[in-house]
Amino acid sequence: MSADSSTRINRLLADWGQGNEEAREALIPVVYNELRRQARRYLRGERPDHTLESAALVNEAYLRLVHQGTPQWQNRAHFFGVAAQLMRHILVDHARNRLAAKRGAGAPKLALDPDLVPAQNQEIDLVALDDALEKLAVIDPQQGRLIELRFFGGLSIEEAAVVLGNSPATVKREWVTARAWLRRELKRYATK
Amino acid sequence: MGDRSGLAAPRIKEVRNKVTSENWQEVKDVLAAALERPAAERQSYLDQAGIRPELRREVESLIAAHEEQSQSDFLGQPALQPKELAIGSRLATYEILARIGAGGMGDVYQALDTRLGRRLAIKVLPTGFLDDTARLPRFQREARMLASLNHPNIVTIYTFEEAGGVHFLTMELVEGRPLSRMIPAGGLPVNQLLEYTTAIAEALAAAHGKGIAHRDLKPANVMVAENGRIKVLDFGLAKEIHEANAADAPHATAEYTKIGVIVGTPAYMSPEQLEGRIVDHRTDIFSLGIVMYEMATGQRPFLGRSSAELAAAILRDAVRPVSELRPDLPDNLVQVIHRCLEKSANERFPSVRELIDALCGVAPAKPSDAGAVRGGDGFWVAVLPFGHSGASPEITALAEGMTEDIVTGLSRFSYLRVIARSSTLRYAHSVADVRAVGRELGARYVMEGSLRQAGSRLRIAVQLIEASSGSHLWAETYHCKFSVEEIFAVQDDIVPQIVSTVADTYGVLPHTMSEALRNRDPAELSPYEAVLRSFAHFPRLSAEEHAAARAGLERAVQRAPEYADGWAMLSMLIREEYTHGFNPQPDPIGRALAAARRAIEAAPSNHLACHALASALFFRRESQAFRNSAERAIALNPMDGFTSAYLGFLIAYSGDWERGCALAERARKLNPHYPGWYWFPSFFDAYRKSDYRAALDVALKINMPGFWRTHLALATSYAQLGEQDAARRAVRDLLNIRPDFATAAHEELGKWWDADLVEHLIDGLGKAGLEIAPAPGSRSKNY
Repeated sequence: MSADSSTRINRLLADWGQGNEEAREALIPVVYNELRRQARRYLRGERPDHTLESAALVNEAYLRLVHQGTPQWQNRAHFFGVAAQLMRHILVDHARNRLAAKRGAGAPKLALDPDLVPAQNQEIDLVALDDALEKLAVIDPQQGRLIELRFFGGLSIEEAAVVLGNSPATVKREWVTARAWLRRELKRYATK
Repeated sequence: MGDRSGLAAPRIKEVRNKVTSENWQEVKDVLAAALERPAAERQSYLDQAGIRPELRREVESLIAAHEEQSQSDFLGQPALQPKELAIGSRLATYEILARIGAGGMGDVYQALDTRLGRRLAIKVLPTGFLDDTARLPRFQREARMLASLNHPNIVTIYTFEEAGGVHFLTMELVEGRPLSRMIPAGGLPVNQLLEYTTAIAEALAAAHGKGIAHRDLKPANVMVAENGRIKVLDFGLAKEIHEANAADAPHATAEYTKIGVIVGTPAYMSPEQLEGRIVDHRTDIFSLGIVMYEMATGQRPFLGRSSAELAAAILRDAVRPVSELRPDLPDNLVQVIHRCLEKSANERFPSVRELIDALCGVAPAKPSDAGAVRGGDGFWVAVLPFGHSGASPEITALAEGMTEDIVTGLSRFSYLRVIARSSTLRYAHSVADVRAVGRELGARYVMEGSLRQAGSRLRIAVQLIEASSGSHLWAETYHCKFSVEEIFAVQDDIVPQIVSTVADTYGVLPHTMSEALRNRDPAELSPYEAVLRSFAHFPRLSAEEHAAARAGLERAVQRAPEYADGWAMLSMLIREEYTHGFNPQPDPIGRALAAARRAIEAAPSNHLACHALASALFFRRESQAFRNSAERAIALNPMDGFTSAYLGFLIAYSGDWERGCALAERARKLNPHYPGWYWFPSFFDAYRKSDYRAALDVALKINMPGFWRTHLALATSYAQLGEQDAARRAVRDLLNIRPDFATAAHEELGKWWDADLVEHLIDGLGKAGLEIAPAPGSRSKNY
């Protein structure tokens, strides 16, 4: 992790701690980029030299977001799992806030960092997806994790396979069936 | 993540689904197996899967969700992804200069290759596109195939790279406009329609020849470069036809359809493509038919308010006859367009080649520039990456740099067709391998080389091999001092020598190629072959050779009136009527000038065209225009020793002796197979300065006994030195070749040299015993 982004994350965490909601939004791209970068290093088998620092920061961000007890970093699969879930929380919260703003609840208007954009062509209702993912995690926790890693963590099939300790072929099958399930679930949600 | 104990517990609002964690495993297995089958076979698979009815309904509803069109990319891209590359940022060794386009297949940037200092285009593949494990190796294979496509009408792919998780292709930068923005409402003029169509078809034919179908041909993927040349791009969706026909075909095709949906409009897709059936090269013929229709009429043959309507129209509707919208089109052209648009692939042209032949029937004298490089067995030259010993980064860089520079250098010779090998490919260096590579690439000639360092010495060995026989056409070893500081100096010094020796008019390739064609029936040569054949004239300089070469070129430009090389070489051959007296016809310089102008019109940046124009202007005595064209020709291809030498001596004779002699000297260094006339500027420079000893030294090196100017040089310099016997022998030799020289001298010499030098030479001839009557009005001068 570069000194710059490390400082930046620290400052944003502090600002956010003082009630600055924009700081949380600003964390999104910084943390996301950092996670992606670390993920690449991990998966290429490079020495994850600064990961402790990165992990600590993500850890802290995570704690602030979900108000849970301190997770222990057990292995890299855990790291990515938590990181992807962090992204999920950040993005879903962002979507919920925007929804609230649309309804005139007066929530602050939030802008994402210009370095990152929501993926194009995706008109996915993140709030609905979040609900559906929770259901999926009940009937198939492994698939729930996979979707998180792929969609929120930005990992490829191959990378997710490494993290989940499965073959890419298996992960591909899981991916295809989980997508079909979620697709149907979201459609039901939309027509409800 | 192995432990979820620390994570938020899922909040379950309602579980209405019939699926439970108990039966989901069973549902999932059947679903996965069904989805691996083509859509049409899924029901029958379920019939024999023996699944309980309530679970079968579950599976069916999930299959339906999967088959929805919008499913294709559902969650396929991460929730967030890096936006476009920042201008000024770096991607590997490339500096991003500007964003020049976006498409379904990724964003395109103009970039600077900081290593080679050249501008190129970078296409960044969409995030997620290569995530699929199977897709990356397949795409790598494809990229390699695409990089092997080297055709004037195809945007050349250089490399396929990855940096920081971003996958991208580097490719030739084309400055121009897409065809989609150049079609006026009423369609293009017939000539342009034919020219563009032929060029696109030539590009497709070259790709199909390598088993590559484009699969996404549309006007937005066809660039019209600033010089008017057509460049087809985005073979990015192309897959090897062979592969699509292999065992996993249903999978590959389904996947393609998926990509097609992402790309957007199906307006240019063939029926078989829309139906997700196996497609081959004939899908491109259909798409070309749509493009032709649009170029002819300004509108597409199939219309619809939505993708579904459009697809239905392509599958079902008959096309409104082109002739209703463009009554002026020739009948056979109309037939060509409609035959391309047949719904059944079997009813279309079986190959693009046959389509091109049909177009020739429309206008036998109207193939495009690229149309001229058709037919024959293709004299393709493949350049393999230079090998090197040791792992020193400097040697590695030098080997790569030299390979790239040689490819670039050879590509400047418009009459060569060069296949560049991506530096990611390495071939073992044995002659057997070289032959195999030649076969694989469809290359007739293969060049390879190696670098070996021993202390401060560097040895560079290069060879050119005829792939079919494995025989060496040429091999050369260059020795030089090597130091890290001088790495570019070595490259700049040696590469031009290699390129010129292989490629220029007196080079190994033109020699080999023209000799291979001399025995063929001249009437059967393609325009491209006629150009190659014409090189046989230059080492021979005989009236017979001249007549054969000129006749071939006249046929060539008649068949391919936009073929710049054809016009340029014809112009030079006509010029030889004047300078050598071969097969003279009226007004040679006027005709040479007209031919050169046709060449320039067809390709303003063709160095042979500029060369031809410059020399015609010299004999027209248009000195300023001559000098401009000459310098442009030399700048366009500084590695062409022939152009440097010929224009160098004309520049010397026009008064700039220093520049002219320097150019000729450089040309002698570039290609050791240079002819004796490369010495002429030095001879006349010494002679005009009355340095007769130096002049004689040079004259003795010319060694072209069949050439009257050789004997003129010997006679005059011997005579001025007072060596009467030798001077008289030279005069005898001169008169053997030109018995009329005593009367023709003023005219012949006056073609080349100014009045002072002409008188000076006549003075020398007089001293050698050949009396020449003074021309009317000439001054006499004592030397």
